Amino acid sequence: MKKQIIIATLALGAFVIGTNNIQAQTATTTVNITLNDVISIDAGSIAIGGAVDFNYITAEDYNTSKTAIVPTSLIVTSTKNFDVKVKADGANFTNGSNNIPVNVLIIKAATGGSMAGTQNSIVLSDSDQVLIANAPLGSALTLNLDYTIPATKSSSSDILGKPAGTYTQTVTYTATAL
Amino acid sequence: MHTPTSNFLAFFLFICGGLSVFAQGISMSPTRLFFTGNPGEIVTEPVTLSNTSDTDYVFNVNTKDWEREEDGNKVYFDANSLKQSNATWISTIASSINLPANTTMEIIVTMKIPADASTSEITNSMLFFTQIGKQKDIAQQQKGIGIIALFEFGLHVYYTPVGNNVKSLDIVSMEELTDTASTTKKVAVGIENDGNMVNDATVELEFTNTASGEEIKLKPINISMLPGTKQVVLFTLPEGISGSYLGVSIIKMAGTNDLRVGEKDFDF
Repeated sequence: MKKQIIIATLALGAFVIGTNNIQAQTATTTVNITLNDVISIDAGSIAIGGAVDFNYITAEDYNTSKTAIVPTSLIVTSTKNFDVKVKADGANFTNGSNNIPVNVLIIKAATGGSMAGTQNSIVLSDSDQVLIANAPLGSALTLNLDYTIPATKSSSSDILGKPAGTYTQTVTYTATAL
Repeated sequence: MHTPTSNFLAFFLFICGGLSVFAQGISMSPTRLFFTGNPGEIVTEPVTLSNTSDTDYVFNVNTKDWEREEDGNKVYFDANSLKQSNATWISTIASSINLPANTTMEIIVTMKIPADASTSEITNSMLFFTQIGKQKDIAQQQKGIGIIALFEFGLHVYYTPVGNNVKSLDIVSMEELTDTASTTKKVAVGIENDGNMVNDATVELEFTNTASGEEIKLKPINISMLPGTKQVVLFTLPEGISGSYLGVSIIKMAGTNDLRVGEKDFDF
């Protein structure tokens, strides 16, 4: 009996010591969250290799303002406030040696997008112009754009009377942190 | 048969799929590079370009100078044309970058600080990653005008001399702007960076009606200013505001608990 009591006492002692050992092994882990600034453009944006086309076939086409409404022209995620500028890569839409000045085109933010900030309407040129100024940071912010060629331009010698063909130019949208 | 579990799984997969589509695109991190070092030293900083889309992209690397106008707008100039330019100090290993689909690339930006660089003045420039159009990026039609839309990121590049560590902004003016062509009232808060570091800050403006105690808090505006520059921050007031108000502007500077507070009485 005495022997059993000693064994039981030893077992209880071992259990308690073991429990304490388990408690002593409790570890703490530091969780670090590292945030880096990032700016991104979603692949669904039109302004990443997309095209916007204006077609002039009938006399009415030349005497009417044409607007191409392009939803989700830009989808931007940014961890800081940002600006969007726009510029043409040349002074003219070109078709071989024939030119149409890029200032026939007006680009402006349309309603319905989630990108805030100061929105401007710009007459396209080969200089950087502010399309969106100080847009608040956010995720997947959408910008819808209206591309307009007014009738005053399409019925003028800027466009009317130019040799038939496709006149093209690259328009670059630049996003920078504030 | 649709069980609650299978419905949940389907919903979960739909959400995950949606998010992964949502996140596809091109990203750049960080958005600003801050170099420091002594004249004559060569220092480097990484920038990460990530293409999570299924399309390959090619970017041209180029630099420009820039300065900020008083309204906060950045204006670009040819590289190495401004006095505070560091465009010729920086380089990357390649002048064009191929970024295949679903890849991430770390690009090392190297700055060679000239031996005769100022030990007190900050320099800056902008490094651009400009998408290069591919053969298929052509207008679709045969007659008319075609616009090919491309994209570029601008990466701020700053050099701060080792000894520069004073962060300070000052409110130099608070004025109501009168525009006879518009009924919208605006208040302009003039701010000067009188420190010697680039300073990010949030500008707040609130009004208290001196008769009724009514408080109007306007949406804060973020700014970033180079040393020695001035900026005018415009706040649009609510339609129909009328009466005597005490205007209080508070500037909260990033990275410090310092505040700047300006007060002025207004009669609208």
